Amino acid sequence: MLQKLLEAVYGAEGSTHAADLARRLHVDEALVRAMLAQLEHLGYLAEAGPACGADCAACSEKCSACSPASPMKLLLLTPAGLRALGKG
Amino acid sequence: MADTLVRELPLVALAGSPNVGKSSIFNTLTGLSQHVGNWPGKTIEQKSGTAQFGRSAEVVDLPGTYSLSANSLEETITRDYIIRERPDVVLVVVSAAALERTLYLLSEVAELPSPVVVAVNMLDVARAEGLRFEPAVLEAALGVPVAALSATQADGYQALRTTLADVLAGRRQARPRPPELGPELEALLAELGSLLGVDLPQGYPRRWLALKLLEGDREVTAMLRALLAPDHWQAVDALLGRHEDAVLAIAGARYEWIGRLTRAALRRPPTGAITLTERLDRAATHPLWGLLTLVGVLGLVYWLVYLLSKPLVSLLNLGLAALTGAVHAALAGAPWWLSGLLANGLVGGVGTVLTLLPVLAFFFAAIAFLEDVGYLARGAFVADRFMHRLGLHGKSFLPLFLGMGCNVPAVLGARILDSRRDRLLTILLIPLVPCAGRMAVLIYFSGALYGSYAPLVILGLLVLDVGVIALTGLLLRKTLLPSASPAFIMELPLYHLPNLRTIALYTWQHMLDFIKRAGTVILAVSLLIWALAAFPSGQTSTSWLAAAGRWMAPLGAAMGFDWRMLVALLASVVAKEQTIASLAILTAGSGAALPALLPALLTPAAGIAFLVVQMLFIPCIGTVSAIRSETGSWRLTLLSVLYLAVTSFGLGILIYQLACLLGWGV
Repeated sequence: MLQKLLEAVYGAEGSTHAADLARRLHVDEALVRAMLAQLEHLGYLAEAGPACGADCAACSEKCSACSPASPMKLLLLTPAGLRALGKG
Repeated sequence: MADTLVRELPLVALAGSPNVGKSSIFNTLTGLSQHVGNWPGKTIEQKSGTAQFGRSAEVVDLPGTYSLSANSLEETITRDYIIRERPDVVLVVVSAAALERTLYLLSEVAELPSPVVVAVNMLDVARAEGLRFEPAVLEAALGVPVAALSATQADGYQALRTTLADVLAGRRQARPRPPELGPELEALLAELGSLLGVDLPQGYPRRWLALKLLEGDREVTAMLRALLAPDHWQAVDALLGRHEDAVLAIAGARYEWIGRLTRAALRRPPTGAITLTERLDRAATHPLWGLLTLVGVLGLVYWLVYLLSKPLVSLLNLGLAALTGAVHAALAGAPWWLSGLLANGLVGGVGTVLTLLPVLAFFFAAIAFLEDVGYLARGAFVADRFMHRLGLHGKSFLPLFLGMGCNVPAVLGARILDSRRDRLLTILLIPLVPCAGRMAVLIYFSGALYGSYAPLVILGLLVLDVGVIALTGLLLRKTLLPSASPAFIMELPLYHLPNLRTIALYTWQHMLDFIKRAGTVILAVSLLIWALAAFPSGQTSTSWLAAAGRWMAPLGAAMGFDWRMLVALLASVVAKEQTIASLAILTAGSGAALPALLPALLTPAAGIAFLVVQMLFIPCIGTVSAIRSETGSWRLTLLSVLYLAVTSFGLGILIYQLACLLGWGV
């Protein structure tokens, strides 16, 4: 099941999201969310960011470009994820 | 319960994932008879107490954890406790509202020898979401008692106490059926289990140890490596080496089990009754409708910003004109340079920039609103699908998106890209993303030049900008920086009502930044430009700046604007808003506010050309400096600046000439 999910992520046209993956795998979105969290926990996916790769509190840029509202979370395949798909 | 340890009171261990209401259940079961300390040798709080389940029992609250993989202190404590203390019952708390996420822990606890009772909490939350939970189905599937609870409403406790009493008294069976992992994995587990020999550490089930080895569990691996004879371990290690990604298959099989359980035990709303988020997302994330929705939403934003800010900008301009007049009057007897410096340089320059405040306030508030209600992520998702076709790396998206606020942190943000090629490609594209300062200038100019058509003009400019980004991306990828473009998953937040405080805070922080910039950099450059435009004669037309500006006149003429527009454009290298301050200073003698003067300075064709150049022109000096430091190359920095200058002027000339052919040049 997780392998299929990794394949679906890899085969996505650019960005995808949990509901889209759930439709493709014919499972519930909540299950996809849980599996994505598990893949992240296992190191096959990793979160990108924060965008500047730095601690916001320590940021010297005072332009407030980073929104205080809910930040976007992006998950990407890690080298381990790509290896598991035979693409690494 | 022959395999339990001898102790005074039966032991009930409370396990569960974070946020399932475990602490509420613990508090209700134990009441005031609680003891709080730390887990031995750890800084994590340990809570225990006594409760009545037909007879007294000790209840221990284990740390919240999603699994038993020993990746965190909480996981290690929980699994060590269950294995070493062998509780008489492990009460696993799961959430009916997040069954898929919280059942994973149960799938792992089921592999251990302790009896299990499942408490399905948050029934009230699940009901509110239209979910109907059927405990009998889950109970039949798991083979252990299942109690349904709404802990916050103190509902279901009596049934839970009775269930625990029955299990502790041996009246009910509580041995869970662990998930079936499939024939291949089961065979692998059996083979690995047999390689472990006979002298296993006390309390550790063979199958569980084999599972943990296949999952790559560092603690279990170290323990068994130390315990087994070297030749034994070599055989185990060789087998593990051939199944490096078995963890994926094991976890996948557990999720198939979870999927089956939830499909059976959870009734979802009928197909017709889809949630608001699903309904909206069908349009908002659709490849075509999503793109059209994004264009419509942005059009609406610019229309609202224009409509709402227009009267306030007019009011501020009236106030500014009055203030400039008052300063001139007050300094009537003073030297010409002093009254000019204060009235035209200070009040005219910085004051005109400050008339941007309403535009910026509404613009930032609109962006914060879209982000807070959950739309911005959808818009970004749709836009990214398009950008992906350019071959941009998924991670590029975050810095490019940040560029809409300010290009400087966006350039720094490219650090998250691992490959230098991807990083350079992203850095070279960021200056093409119009930052908030640039957008405010575009809205200001288009409002003054095109009135109620301004939102359409802005929208057209953005479409052009996306096209330029796309072509630049393709060009760079096909020539200098070929790179791969892996996919990524974006977490889309649920739509919800906006929080006014969040929006106000976001807007306020950005306004404060703008005011600080106006009071420092823009002020200093405004005074310099005033001096260059006033000396040596006191007349702008015969000033040093005019002499330099006229030298560039042929370039301006090709786009239909005079030297003042070019100087204002060049001044934007300091800060984008400086364009407005500079133009206000250079037109100070005309006696009217800048918005009223602009239609006389620029024909419709020249106006469009100016907006295009302004949108694509060299970024502010802060961004250029960030590009230099992040690329470590003057050559690439120069290339970026030259590309932007050539592209902006080239497109400006082309669009002006085309617009003149259409008769917009007068």
